[in-house]
Amino acid sequence: MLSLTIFLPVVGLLLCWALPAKHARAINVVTNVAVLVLVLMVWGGMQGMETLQHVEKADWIPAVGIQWHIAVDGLSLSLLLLTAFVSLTAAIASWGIEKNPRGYHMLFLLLLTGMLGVFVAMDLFLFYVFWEIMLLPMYFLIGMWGGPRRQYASIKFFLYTLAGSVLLLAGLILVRMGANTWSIPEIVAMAKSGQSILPEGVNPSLVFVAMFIGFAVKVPTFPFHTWLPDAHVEAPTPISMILAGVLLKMGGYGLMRIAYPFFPEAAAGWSTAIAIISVIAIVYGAFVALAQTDFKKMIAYSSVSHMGFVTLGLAAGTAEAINGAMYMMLAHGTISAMLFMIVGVIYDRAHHRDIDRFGGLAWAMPKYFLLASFAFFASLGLPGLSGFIAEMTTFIGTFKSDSQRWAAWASLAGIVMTAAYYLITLQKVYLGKTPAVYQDKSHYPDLSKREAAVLVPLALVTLWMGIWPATAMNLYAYFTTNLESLLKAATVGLGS
Amino acid sequence: MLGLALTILGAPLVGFVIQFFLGRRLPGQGAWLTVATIFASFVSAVVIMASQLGGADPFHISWAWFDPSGGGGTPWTVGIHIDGLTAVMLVVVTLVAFLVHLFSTSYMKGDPKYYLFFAWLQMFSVSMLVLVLADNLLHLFMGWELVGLCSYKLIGFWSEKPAPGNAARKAFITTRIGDLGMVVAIAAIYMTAGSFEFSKIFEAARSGALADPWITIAGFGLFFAAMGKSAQAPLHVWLPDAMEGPTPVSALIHAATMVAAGVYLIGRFMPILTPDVLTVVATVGAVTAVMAGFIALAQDDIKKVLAYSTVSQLGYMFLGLGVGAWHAGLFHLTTHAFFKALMFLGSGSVIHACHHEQDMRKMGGLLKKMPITGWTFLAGVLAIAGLPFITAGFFSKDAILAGAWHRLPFLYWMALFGAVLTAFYMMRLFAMTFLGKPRDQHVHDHAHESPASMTIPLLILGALAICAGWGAWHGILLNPEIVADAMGVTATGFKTVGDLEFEHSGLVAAMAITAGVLGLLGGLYVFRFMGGAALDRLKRPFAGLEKVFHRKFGFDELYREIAMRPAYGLAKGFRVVDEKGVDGAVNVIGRFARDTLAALSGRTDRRVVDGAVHLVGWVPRVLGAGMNALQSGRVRFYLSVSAGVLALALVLGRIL
Repeated sequence: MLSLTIFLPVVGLLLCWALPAKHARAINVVTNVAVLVLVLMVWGGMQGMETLQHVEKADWIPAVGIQWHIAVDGLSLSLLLLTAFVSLTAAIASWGIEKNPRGYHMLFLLLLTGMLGVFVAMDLFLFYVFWEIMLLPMYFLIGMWGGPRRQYASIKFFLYTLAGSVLLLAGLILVRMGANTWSIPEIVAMAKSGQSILPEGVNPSLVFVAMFIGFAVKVPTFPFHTWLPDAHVEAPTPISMILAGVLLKMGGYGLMRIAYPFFPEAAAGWSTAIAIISVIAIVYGAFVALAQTDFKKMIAYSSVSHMGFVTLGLAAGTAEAINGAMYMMLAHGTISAMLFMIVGVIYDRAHHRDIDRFGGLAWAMPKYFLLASFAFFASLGLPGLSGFIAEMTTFIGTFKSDSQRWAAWASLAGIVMTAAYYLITLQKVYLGKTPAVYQDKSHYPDLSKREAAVLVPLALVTLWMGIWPATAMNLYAYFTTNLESLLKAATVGLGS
Repeated sequence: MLGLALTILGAPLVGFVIQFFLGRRLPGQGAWLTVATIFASFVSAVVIMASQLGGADPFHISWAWFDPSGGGGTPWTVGIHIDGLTAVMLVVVTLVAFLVHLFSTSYMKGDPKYYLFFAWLQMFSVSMLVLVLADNLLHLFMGWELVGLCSYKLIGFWSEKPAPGNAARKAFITTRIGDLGMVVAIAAIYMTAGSFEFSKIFEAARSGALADPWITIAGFGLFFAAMGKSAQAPLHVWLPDAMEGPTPVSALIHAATMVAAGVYLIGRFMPILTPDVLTVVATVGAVTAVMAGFIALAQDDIKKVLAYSTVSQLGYMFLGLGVGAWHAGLFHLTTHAFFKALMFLGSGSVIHACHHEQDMRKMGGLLKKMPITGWTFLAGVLAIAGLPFITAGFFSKDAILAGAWHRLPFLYWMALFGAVLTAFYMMRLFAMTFLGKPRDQHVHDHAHESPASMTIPLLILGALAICAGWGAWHGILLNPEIVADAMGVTATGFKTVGDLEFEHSGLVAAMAITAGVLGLLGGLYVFRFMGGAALDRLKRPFAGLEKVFHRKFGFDELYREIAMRPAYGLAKGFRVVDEKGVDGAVNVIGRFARDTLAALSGRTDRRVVDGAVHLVGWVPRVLGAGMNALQSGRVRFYLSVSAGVLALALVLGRIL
């Protein structure tokens, strides 16, 4: 079933290729619906969240021990759900793509396969293959369907990620050399039992750093974040949604699934350094967001700021902090997808994104304003919506950590700045007097049904995750608990 | 009890949802629905109040919400806690909210977003009730933040104009700065007490688990949050601007929701406030009370005067709490809620009658034209001035002064001076608006008494402004058991004010009475009977001071210089750093890596170099048809690197 889920998009891709181009978008949406249904069925078929289930294991390249090894546990499932859901909304948002739709939707589906694969691969090599598979369609989607500076942005995205990938791969190979297996669960078990998973003489601390940078580029953590604003600004709206909603989460997932459990001591040893760059990301990201005049760039920097909480939670290492970090991944996934859609909606009408040139849209497009302010307040952490749970839990958890409490204090400035940049943008874009041009319904219609179909489901999930966090948190709580005890033991080990 | 509590929350919540999504299509745009739902809440609150007065035990229930503690702690909960304090707050909030709803049905008539106004009024009430009913700090914080959202929406209700939009944003951001204190307090309390629940927090304080320094930090954090929400200096700057909202909103913000939240928070958390914290609470309160009184003296906008009087009165409440006169501070909260709601709605009635004229210099002589508004307003003025024995304000203010007298005499004298000021500037307001000769005939000609839906709330509140000091509220807040419960565990040695039996000592009461009467008579004389020329002569020596007061001590200008400008400057600076510094470094590294790589592999592919040219930020050429070729070139490069690395991996894997 899991394999079917992953490869269903490939089937869709082939259909896109075989059938007339005008059907491509429908095939994309239908495939995404089917994938979401399959993921829900995977969920339904799971017995508890703790163990790896739906395991599929077969030799792939036996000569070097590489296996087709995929499975899900609660952690993977939560991200599969996020991926399938955000991808579906992005597919709907892609309906209006006119330039070479066949190619676009084929690449979109290939991207989906890559993303799903990353979250279920339990073989390191397989993980890396999916990780790379996903890069190519992303590169083309930005580079061919993007804005005026798409080439610069796509190349930059590409080289950045490539550099990260090389570091990651170097780390993975060293682990393979030491542990003599590609199997993630086996390596985790070895690390837990104290066995070395590296060749003799290799410093685990450095390997951890290499892997951390590899993943941090994706998160993106300061100072590896500068590809993100460019990529976002140039990417077409649905691709921005995927980029922020799913792609960034692969970095956090990699840290949680691989880097941290493989090297808990090194992770604990580097925790202060990680906390420092996280706090910089949170506060500095918020300040830079405040200074933006491009709506989309503002949202992009808000992503940098919010994703800082993910690495901060990991650095703090308490149960609450890690749970909050993971919750931030899910919450940010849906909220940022909404935010990018909101930028896309107005860009489609105004053909520019300059915050200072808008104003008064609230009264011209009331439904759009409602959903936009919903997303803004969700992102700035309004209770009742998912962002609040994520931020509060991470903050409280970080505060609880004796060694990283300072980081909680330092991140406070980000909370105020976040409110500032969102409310200033809200005011500049939506409030104030409505110029006559926006009253022209033919150029500035309120949300279309299709746009609403993208935004409303995302809003409902955001609301549900804010009201009843247990639904999502219970999926992965066991994993974060284990990770916490692992890190705690490692910290104790460091001290002695 | 649970049913009642859920009715209190549920009725207006349902009202909000219906009104928000369907309100536009309801007959009469649904205002009646929201009046009915909030009335249902009020009735339930009265029933709860009655049972608390009848000696019912406090009620507590909580539900597991989610558990991020990894099994190492208890799940986070939401819940409901009802005791005497809750009951008082519930009645005050629902009653004032109900009257404001009723008043608004006429006041907002004709507004294009009429239905939406009532939706947000409902949500404002719900948020405040969530806050009041919460059994734990995190849950309370959610109500607290939702109150912030609703105030943002309502202050900025007319944000097609720039001023309300600015005011709304200022309110949200200023209170959010205060909220940082709350966030820290929540974290510090959770870390030490392991729970957010009030009873467990107090238990932890008693057992010593919640001890210094965290108990002090938590206390300061909570007070910092209260300073934001309850507009205490120096975080008071948002409240006067919030006057940009429709007047009923001002009434609600100033009386029952929002600003009351901070006072309630400190009242609720008395048991963990250390003497240091309490001294700061009292001092900030007293300073704010006097400072805002001065500012109110020099304002000409009727709502601005009321706004600063609120800031000042809130200062009294904190003074009361800070000197340990727990009941007095909260008692003043309730009486103030009534007389301030009264005066705001009264000013709304005046503004409504004068076609949205708010400048008192254009009013005068309105008492005859608007007798109900005028006389009820007078009740409010007398109450806030603390006219002895008959007004509610006297009892509560006297109790605060008595507390200060016992504990911090210096603050007592400040507060006493503030009381003179209060009476003086309120009488100024009354005289300028309602007495004397009309100063603007045009405005005067327009003026007329407001319809019943507006005067009935005024009459009810007028009655309460007079009588609320006599009745049940006083009783429940002075209930020794409740006070003992709250005070019993107050950190060391701070049960000073007797056994909290405030003897209304003759001397203190006499001075308070004198202060109030002096201020009222002085105000009446100066602003009613003294001529314009004499008044000008009187004011001349104080011209400099008046300017300072009129400019509100320059807080707004100060913040613009020391906070907003630097923040923007920093933001712009960081942006440059990000684009030129961080990204620049990346580009340099990228170029270096590309050169090295190219040299190593001996590749001379111009296309790669081309790509790198883009990398350093040259505007890329539009390559049209050539693009595909170009990209395939880059992909070849990518694939070759990737394949190389993979091959290396395989080889290495093989070897091992």
